[in-house]
Amino acid sequence: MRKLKILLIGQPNVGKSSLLNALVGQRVVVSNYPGTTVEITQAEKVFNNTKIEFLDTPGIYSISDRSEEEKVTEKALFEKEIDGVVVVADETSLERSLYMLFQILEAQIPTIFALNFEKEAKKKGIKIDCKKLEKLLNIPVVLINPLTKKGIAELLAVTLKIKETAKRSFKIEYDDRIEKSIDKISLQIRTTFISKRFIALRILEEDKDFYKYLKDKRIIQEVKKSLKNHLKVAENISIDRYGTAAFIAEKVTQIIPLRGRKDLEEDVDNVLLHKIWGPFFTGLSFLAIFGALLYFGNLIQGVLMGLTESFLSSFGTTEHSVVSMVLVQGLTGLAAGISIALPYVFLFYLLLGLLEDVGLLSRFIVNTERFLKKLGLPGKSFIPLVLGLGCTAPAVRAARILSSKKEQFHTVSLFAFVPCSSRIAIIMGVVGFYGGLKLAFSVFATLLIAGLIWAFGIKKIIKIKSEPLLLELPPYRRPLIKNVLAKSWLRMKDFVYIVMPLLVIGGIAYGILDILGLTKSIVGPFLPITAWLRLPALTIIPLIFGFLQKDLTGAMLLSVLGNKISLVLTPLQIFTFGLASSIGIPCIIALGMLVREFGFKKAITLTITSIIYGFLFAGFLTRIISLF
Amino acid sequence: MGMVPGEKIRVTNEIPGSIVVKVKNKKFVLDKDIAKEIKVLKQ
Repeated sequence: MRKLKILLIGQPNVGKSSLLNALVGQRVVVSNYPGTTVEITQAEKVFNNTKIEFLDTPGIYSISDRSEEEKVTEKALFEKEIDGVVVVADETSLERSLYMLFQILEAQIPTIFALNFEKEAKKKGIKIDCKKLEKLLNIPVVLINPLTKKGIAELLAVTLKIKETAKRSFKIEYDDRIEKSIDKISLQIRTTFISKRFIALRILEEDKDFYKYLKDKRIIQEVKKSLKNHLKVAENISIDRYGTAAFIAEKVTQIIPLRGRKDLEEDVDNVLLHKIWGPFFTGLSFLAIFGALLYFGNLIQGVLMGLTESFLSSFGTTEHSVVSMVLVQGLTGLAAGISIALPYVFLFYLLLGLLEDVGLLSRFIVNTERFLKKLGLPGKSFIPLVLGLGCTAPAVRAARILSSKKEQFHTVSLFAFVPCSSRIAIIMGVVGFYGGLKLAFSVFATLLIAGLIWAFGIKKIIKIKSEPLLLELPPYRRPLIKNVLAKSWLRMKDFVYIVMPLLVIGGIAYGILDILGLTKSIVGPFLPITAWLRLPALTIIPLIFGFLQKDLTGAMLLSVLGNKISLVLTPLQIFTFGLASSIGIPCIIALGMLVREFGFKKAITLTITSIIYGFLFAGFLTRIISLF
Repeated sequence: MGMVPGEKIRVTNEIPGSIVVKVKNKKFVLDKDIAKEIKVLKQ
């Protein structure tokens, strides 16, 4: 079977990931904000006896900048052996996409130009003549809509012939002196699969990463000397490219005047980006999300608890053998996990999906930027922090959108206080359900205070100069329920395939330990901790199991203490348990991700420090509260 | 953000510490420190 490796490239938020999903089926999370994709995603499609491997890349504005995303995409472009590139472009701002397309064509990489957002362009009165554009660029231009799958079959068909586009594509002619310099440098470039013209241009644009392709670096000084009286060379190249892009865009764009159409987006932004109303609505939105989670989650939890209890009680009438007792413990773990965790995890992802797709997340970044800056965090850290409310592990990876490792580490250290959906489930499903809503909100408020103290402390230890904010605001879009449900499922998949079996295993493991009478030997060494927290000794078991998988915490608490928790624990103990299990790097999966991103030493130090901090904080608070 | 010399920019909103600009049909939030670096060629 023939094989092809194709890279999907484009500016942030132009629909690359949507295109990947349309080409190969729902594989990646797609959202309406720039920076959703932070690493390469691979997926395959067999089409007409050809296995096409598509690589979805982080969005970039050009191949000249030096952000993390650009480095990842550049690496894929020039270090992986690819057969071609699909440049995904936004019809509403064609010249901006053309600029990057020209750079790729300069690299002589076989390219297809895929135009997305035809509907949005139409709304703005923009119409692109595809045939004319195809003729001017001399490469295939395909009109696509990944959501309706328009143009997908055509794109696949054209992809099969992608190699034919290599030699005949469009080329920008720069002024004579630059062209001569390109020729001079090209003679000194070692043989490589990257086009010599492209490398020469990158060198003229002073990209030091490309100096390694030179046989003799003295040519740089020689060329600089010959261009001494030339206007800034890099700027000149960029102006020429943009000028050509603007010229072509103008040739193929028809502007249809829209009469009497009010720009609703501007009006909404005037409120959401207002210096007072903006932060107010941001805060209100988060309160509404938590309110909805609490109300509907509680409602679903009540129903599920009733169902699982009646299911489990049916086992109570049968004769108890050791095996059946262990199995019942396994089922208890599963049932408790489903009824405590599932409603909150699912609801949170649904609400997050809606928030992302409408385009509100980026506006919230703007409104929280000032506050985050005071904590020493860049505005963009809002995205990983919000994603951390879902699951810490992917949020650690999402922190890659921040430019420096220091900023990334400071942000991920706050995941110790940003309750992931599993911790939200503990707070709402255990503290809220058994101790009342006020108690649940007290845990959230305490987490916030503990997190603020931590953040200020870290700011003092790690001196960070935050990068100034530079962010694209996506347009508002009507969320597609299909997409919201699909990505909620993608994010939930791990819960079903990994967490649910773990809940059974956790329950069974506890059952075996209980029957063998080994629980005391586990509990014993941790007595100082439970004594410090003023909790029953057995509560250490859910805390330990919880570090293996956070959803096990609530389930194991029910296994250990039974489902009448409010009779066994006082409200203060329920509060302390909720707090102690919520502060700290939550689980072994998050720890693994931290190791991958920051190395073992930093990851383990952060995890241990945050857990100790959590226990100390919860213990002190218990003592203070009990004084009143 | 891939802004190039000669591009038309329209300031749509001002917020403390940043401004919101529209470049073609795309909107960007720029820190005022970045915005100060933009040389206005023609008003």
